Amino acid sequence: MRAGALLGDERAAPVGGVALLGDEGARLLAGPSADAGAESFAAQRARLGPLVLGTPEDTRSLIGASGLLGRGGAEFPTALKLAAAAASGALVVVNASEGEPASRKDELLCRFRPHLVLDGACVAARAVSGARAVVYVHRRRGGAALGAALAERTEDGGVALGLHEPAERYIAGESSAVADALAGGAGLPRRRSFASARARATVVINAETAAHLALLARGGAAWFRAAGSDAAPGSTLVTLAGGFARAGSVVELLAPVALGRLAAATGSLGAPEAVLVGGYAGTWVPGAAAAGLSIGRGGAVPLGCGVLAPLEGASCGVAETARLVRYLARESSGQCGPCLHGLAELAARFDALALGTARRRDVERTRALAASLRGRGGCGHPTGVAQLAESALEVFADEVHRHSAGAACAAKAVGLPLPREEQPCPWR
Amino acid sequence: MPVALNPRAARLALDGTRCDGHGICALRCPERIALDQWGYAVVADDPIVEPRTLARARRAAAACPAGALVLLAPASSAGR
Repeated sequence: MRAGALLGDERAAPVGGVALLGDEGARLLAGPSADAGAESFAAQRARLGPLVLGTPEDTRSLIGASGLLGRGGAEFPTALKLAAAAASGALVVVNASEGEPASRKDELLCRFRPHLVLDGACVAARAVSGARAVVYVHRRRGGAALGAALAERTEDGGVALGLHEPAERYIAGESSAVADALAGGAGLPRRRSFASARARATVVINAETAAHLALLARGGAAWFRAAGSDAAPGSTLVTLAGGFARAGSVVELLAPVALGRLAAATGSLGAPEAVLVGGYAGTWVPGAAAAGLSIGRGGAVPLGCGVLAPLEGASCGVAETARLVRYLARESSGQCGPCLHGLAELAARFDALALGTARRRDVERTRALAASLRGRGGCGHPTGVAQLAESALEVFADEVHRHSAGAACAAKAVGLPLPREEQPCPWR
Repeated sequence: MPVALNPRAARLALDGTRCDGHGICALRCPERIALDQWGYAVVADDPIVEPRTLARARRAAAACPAGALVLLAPASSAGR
């Protein structure tokens, strides 16, 4: 085991605890820079040494001692998740579908560190006494690189590895939808407590979580816990979207860092009016508070899928939120009444706000509607959109007030990226 | 994190993907189930200890035409 390659980062910590791909002192992002393309199997083994798998019990103990929390959004303790699946010899599914429009961290791992993702799949499989693992990934978002990486591997640790192409929709990445797809279903969310026997025999972990397992298996729990915080150990990846100067770039946080310092370290252009933290179904944070906000797992504002999206200078928070709510409403799987009807109504209400056709009482009804959608439906989608909506109404209260007095949105630019916008937005 | 369950109490659980808004459940067990503005069930998932409520909850679960409602037994995660 090349312990030095792992321990070296403690002696050469990146500036301000923020690392880019190829930086000395990074963990997941350590190794060759982007110019070198995917790190080959041979190069990764030369850098990190072989992957040595312990017994299933030892593997689960190691993961438990590390305190690793899932990096897919829910921050669920990985050891608990794997322990629950351990009795059934479950199929491990590594979720790299990354349906969150602005997120790129999982794709970056698949493209540049595919063997971390694949090694992690093997570690997880060993933890559940399983012999199979599948990476759920789009071909053009890292799947091709993983396919090439699979062909290179000369050791399999007794785990058969494969790939599965997800459907092209946002909800395809929801973990019960992933399990459903792998069980031969339509790939839509299923309530866990009612899951079919086939769907129950899968355990889904995020691609970044798998990559952490690959390093943990080599470095051990103490090394792992030397990064991050006590409550949420380990480093974490974030994607900078929207207003950050290097939009779309992925950085690794070795410890919680103030957002202002992160912005300075990555070359942001100034103080945004607000920042959307945790993905589009996340939480708006006002600009004044944003600079001092501690960014990291287990922080005051949930980091979710790790997307940080500042509001562009020329954009309006209300219009931007309306655009996101409309997108998220369209991406409902349509299986649950409150989600299908509730999000459609929420989108219509936010459109009215942005257009200036809503009034004060409509604002209160919008807030009440959002609150009523929390916890409804068969998956976390409506709750996420409710969170976005409620935080927008609070953070952009001044703009909401102006709009509800009859002023249409004056925004000229729309910043946050969305895939394939099929319907024109009414305010553009 | 999963909510810790009282191992001695049952609770109702709704599969939102199956609920079609028939509304029978709310008639059978109004103390735990209401209908939203579109007619879909809003189910309180706190533990049920009172015997008559438990009986009504069991009837509500049995009455759902869509099989969307279950009464989860103590210390178990499946079954009716």
